[in-house]
Amino acid sequence: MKKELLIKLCIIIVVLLGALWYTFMVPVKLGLDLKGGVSATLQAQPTAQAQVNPQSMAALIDGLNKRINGLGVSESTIEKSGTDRIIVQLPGATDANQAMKILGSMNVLEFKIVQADGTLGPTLMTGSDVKVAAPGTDSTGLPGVNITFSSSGTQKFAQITTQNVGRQLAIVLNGQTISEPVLQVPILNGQAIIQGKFTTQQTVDMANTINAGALPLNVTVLSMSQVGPTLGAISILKSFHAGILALILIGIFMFIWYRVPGLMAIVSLIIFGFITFAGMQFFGVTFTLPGIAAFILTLGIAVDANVIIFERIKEEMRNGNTVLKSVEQGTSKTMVTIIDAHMTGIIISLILIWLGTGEIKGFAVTLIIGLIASLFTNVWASNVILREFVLFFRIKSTKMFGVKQKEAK
Amino acid sequence: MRLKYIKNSKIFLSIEVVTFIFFLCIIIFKGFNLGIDFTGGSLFQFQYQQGTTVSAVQSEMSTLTQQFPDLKDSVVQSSGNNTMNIRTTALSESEKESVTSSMLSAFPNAQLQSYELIGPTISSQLVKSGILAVIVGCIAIILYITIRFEFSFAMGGIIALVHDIVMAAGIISLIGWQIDSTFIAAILTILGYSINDTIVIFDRIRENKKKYYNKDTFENIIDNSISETFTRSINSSVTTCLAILAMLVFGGLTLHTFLLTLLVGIISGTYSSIFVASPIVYLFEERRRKKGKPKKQKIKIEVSEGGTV
Repeated sequence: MKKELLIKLCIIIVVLLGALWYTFMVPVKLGLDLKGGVSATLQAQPTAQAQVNPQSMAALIDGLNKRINGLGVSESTIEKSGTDRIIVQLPGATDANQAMKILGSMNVLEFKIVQADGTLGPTLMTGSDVKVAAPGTDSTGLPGVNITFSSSGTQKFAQITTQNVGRQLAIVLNGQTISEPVLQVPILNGQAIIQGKFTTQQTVDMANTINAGALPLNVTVLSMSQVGPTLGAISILKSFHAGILALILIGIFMFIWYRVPGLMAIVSLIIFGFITFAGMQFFGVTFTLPGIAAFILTLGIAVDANVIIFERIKEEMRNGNTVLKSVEQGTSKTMVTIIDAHMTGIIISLILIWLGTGEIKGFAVTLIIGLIASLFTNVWASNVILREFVLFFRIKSTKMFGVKQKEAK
Repeated sequence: MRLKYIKNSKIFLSIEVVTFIFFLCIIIFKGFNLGIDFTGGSLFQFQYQQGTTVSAVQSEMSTLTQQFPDLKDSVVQSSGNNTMNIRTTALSESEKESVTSSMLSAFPNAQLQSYELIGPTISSQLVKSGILAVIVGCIAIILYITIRFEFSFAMGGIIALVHDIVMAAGIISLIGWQIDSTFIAAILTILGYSINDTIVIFDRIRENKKKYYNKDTFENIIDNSISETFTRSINSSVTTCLAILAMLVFGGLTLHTFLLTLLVGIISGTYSSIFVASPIVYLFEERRRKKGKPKKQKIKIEVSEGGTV
């Protein structure tokens, strides 16, 4: 009996040490609402050339990655969500602002005809018609950007240049006209060169932008959120204070009501806190505000399990059992109840993970890790610690459990 | 606490029905103050220098409206600590830039703390998936309780649950706080919590039913089970409420609606699990008994006994 308890105690210590290691040695992944930065949900839409399918989505993500990388935003992530959406996360607000501008204007490269009154006509072709752009030189040896159109682009370009000989073709990049060459002859081979007063470096950059900009699909911004770094820091501090205050308030309440086991509850609550935190670290869950709320809430659930156990122990004492017997009976009789009570929470969390989006999902993932940690600490750790404690200090008086001698008949 | 829970169940259930209808009417007729998560739109949060007034920001916005007609329905609201929220219809990237730059130039030391854009597709999806999650959650809980207990218990649990959700949502509707996507998370958490509260009592009823089935009336068994778990029901909500209160003190404005929804839901959940769920189980069981199927019931109890081990 005693040996079995000791083994269990060792397991708990090992788990706790593991949890401590994960808590302190693994860097915490903070969400953008705490770190500051920009996140956006983009909707991919088919173009005349391309349907939305896994291949074109992969190409789109690739293209977006190229654009973001060019901006030098560190730790940015671009991932697919569902079949036709992309979630972009760009930490660091100032750089991200710039990045969003680029992401927000998806048709970077446009070809338009300059009208008689000097204004630009409708967009006739876009970057998606470009197969590849490369820096080069024009016939006079000046730096320029060579463009090769895709096969459909070649046809379009041939048509445009045939119909508009003598007019100016405006090449517009991100809303800015970069050159307006006069079309002298129809261009049928799908080759064009952008001329202007460029330096060699400028042509290299421009070719890169055009290549990156030739996204296979159109993209619209569905939602976006931007958080400044100060607000994030304030949120972290507030959450930290809230967690500490919750622990203190619950601790005081538990001690007043349950005395010695109340202290045990605080110990198991701290163990629970570390295990939950480590669980989040282990699964690489990102800490967000709703996630922290879920974390503090699970403190309440974990204490609830303690309350169930302790109430049962008190009841057993009032029925005239010894301290040790009451502790054993109380913990074993409440096990089913605690498992049932946790299961409903776990079911709800699973549904939230399944159906929820973004914030709600983060909340549910934390909740489920907390519930599982609570099951471990309460069904296992809590009662082992309590029994070990009663045995070690040879506690005989029910008073230490908040039950008066008179009540224990 | 020792009370004649079943004998007085008419009183308790009447209180439940009255509050339920009251808050349901509020939800139906007053509705919710929907945030951009539900309506779509843009939301800026600026930090201003001390002494900047809402009307000064408003007049700056109306100057901008001449240039961008999209801004005409914008609302400026103070959210304490010299921060102000500006809510508009969904803006394009260039409109957003113009608002930001004109605010920063018109007000010295102003800072853009956060910006959020929710397009109409996202917001309608959020509502749909939220409602779906609540319905699926309810069905899952009915199934779980029916498997672990009996169908009558599931009915008691689910009626108590719907009561709690309407209470929590009704109070938020009554005081008119703005709701966002975390409100759905709060409602779903209440789902889990309320049923957790109820299950502990059900568990005790099941245990006592096994012990005293032929020695005591079902009425007394339920009364005793509620009394025995009474302290636990109260203490559990107290500890959870303490955690929520701690967050309310420090949480800042972003999570206020979320926390209040939870607080109401948990308090209501404690009431309903004690005074609503079990009486309903009793009523269902009694009706079945009166219909005269004692034999079938006996078998059913044996089955559920087998399940508890």
